[in-house]
This record gives sequence, structure tokens and C-alpha cells, in this order.
Amino acid sequence: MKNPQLLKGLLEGCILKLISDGETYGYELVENLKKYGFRDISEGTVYPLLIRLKKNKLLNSKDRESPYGPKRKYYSLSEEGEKELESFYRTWRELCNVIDLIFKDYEGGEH
Amino acid sequence: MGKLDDLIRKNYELSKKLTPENDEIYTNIVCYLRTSGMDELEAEEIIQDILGMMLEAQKRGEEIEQVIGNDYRAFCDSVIEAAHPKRFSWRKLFSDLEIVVIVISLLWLLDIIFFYLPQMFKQGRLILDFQVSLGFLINTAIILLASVLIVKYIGKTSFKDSKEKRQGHKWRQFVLLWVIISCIIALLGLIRYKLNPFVFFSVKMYYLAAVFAGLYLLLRAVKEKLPVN
Repeated sequence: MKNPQLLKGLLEGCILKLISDGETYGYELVENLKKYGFRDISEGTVYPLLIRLKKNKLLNSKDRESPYGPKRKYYSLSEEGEKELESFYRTWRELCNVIDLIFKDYEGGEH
Repeated sequence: MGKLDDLIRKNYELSKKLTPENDEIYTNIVCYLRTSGMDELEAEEIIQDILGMMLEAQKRGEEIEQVIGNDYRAFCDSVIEAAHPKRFSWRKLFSDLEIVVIVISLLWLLDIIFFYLPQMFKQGRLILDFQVSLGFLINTAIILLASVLIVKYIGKTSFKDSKEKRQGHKWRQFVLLWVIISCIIALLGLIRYKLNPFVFFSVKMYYLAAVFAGLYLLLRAVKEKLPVN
């Protein structure tokens, strides 16, 4: 995906979803996103988004011991985070429907 | 010990585990973030997170570029933007005032050592009256302003600096810095001696020491009580 602004917003939604599946930390989250197909993602992209989500009180965080020495920050969804996730998904579905309708008779991508 | 000092010490201890190359990158990131205008506690927590990322990458045998990309400055900017520091916060005001009190106390101490001690030896008696003169006030103002500018400059150029050093500008920079510092010290000495006769008031040194210490402790206590946001 080339558009950074668009990607940022979508990534935030995906991060909320993955965190709602279970408490997780930065690197694990990145690996998960990669597994789903966001191949160019790194902690450098995800970390600022986590800060913003936390700053907006959508995430809680907890430091836990890690086998590597420094403590790891584990993230979980706050109540507001749950609401934001629902609202993101609703908006996304609506958008998908609209875009599918608009592009129904489009064949440019086939070539 | 407050939470902030604790965190700074912990980060410092942990950063010793970094390889020399990573340590240089880490130091630049720390410089940039600490001078970014972010709340100091918030900045230190972010530094802790980044240090954790770097150490874990090291353990996995990965390069830092794979983790945060090769444009460290852009990474830092996106972190700072995400934390969107407020222009004004009471915590920031109090921590700035704390630094001002420390700097003024230090300059006062230096003034006693370089200006009053020689006089005491010459006259063979203890001088306890400190004269607040125009020369002292102007010098203090100049040094305060210069310190702020230098810190801001170091922060802004933290990523450029290490590249220039490698290109062999180190010597020229050192000589230039030495000349500038000598000129400034000479200028400050001149101001101090020439403008010394203009005395505003005189105060016992032990009172002044008590005022500085009290002010410092008060500012610190208030700052600890204030919330980060």
C-alpha cells in the first residue's frame, strides 16, 4: 500500500483488532501484522501508532518481565478502545460496500 | 528519588548492554527526544520503550534498521508527533524553573569561587556579604540564554553530528569551539569586573544559599505532584 495517511488509519483499526484478540507487545504485534500480509511493516511504523492510541486512552499497558532483560510493554484494549474498534469496523464495512458498488462495472484492474 | 530520576538511571544502566554502534544511535535518539519539548517523564518512558526494542532486536541478531528504519530522525519525529506535546504545561514550567534555579545557584557558587575567594585571601578575612551587582546579573542572564541555545542546538543536530565527526571535521570543530569559549569567558570576565561597582543590594551568603535550596526543593515537590497530562 502506497498512501501513508490512508495506511495509518487502517493500521490503527487492525492494531485494535489484534490487541482485542489478546494482550500483546510491540514485536509480536508486528509479526502478526506481517503474517496477515502487511509485509513492509516494522516496529518503527507501529510504535508511534501505539503511542497515539494510548494517548487517546484506547489502550491500557502493563510492563511484564521478558526473557531478554528489559521489561516488555503489553497492550490491552480499554473500554473506549472496544467502542472505537466497533466504530472502525462499521465504518470500514460501509466504505467497502460503497466502493464495491462504485467499482462494480470497472474492469481496469483486470489487465 | 523521584520517578523520573529512577527511570533515567534504569535506562542508563540498561543502555550499557547496547553494542557500540547501537549505543551511538541510541544516544542520538535520546538527545533528540529529550530536547523535543515533550514532557520529561513521557520522553523518558518513550526512551525506555525504544531501548527495549533495540535490545530485543540485538538479542534476535537483527540490525536496528530492520526495526525502526534507517531514517532515525523521521522515526523520532513520528513518535513526537504521536505524543503531540503541549506547548504549555505546568509540569514543563516547573521543570524549567527548577533548571533555572540550579543554573543560577551554580553560577553564584562559581562567582564566589572566582570573585570572592581571591578577595578573601587578599584581605585575609571572611566575606559573607554577597553584592548583587549589574555585572553578576548580566553574566547570569547571558549564560542562561547561551545554555538554552546550546542544548536546543545539540538536540536539533543530534543526527547530523555523528556523520560530520566521521568525515574528519572533528579537529576543526574542536579548535573553533575552544576559541569561541575563550572569547566568551574573557567577555564575561570583563563584564563582571567593569560592571561590579553597580550594586543593587547586598545580602548575606547563607541567606541566599537557604533561599536557593528552599526554592529548589519547593519546585521539585510541586512538580512531582503535578500530573503528566
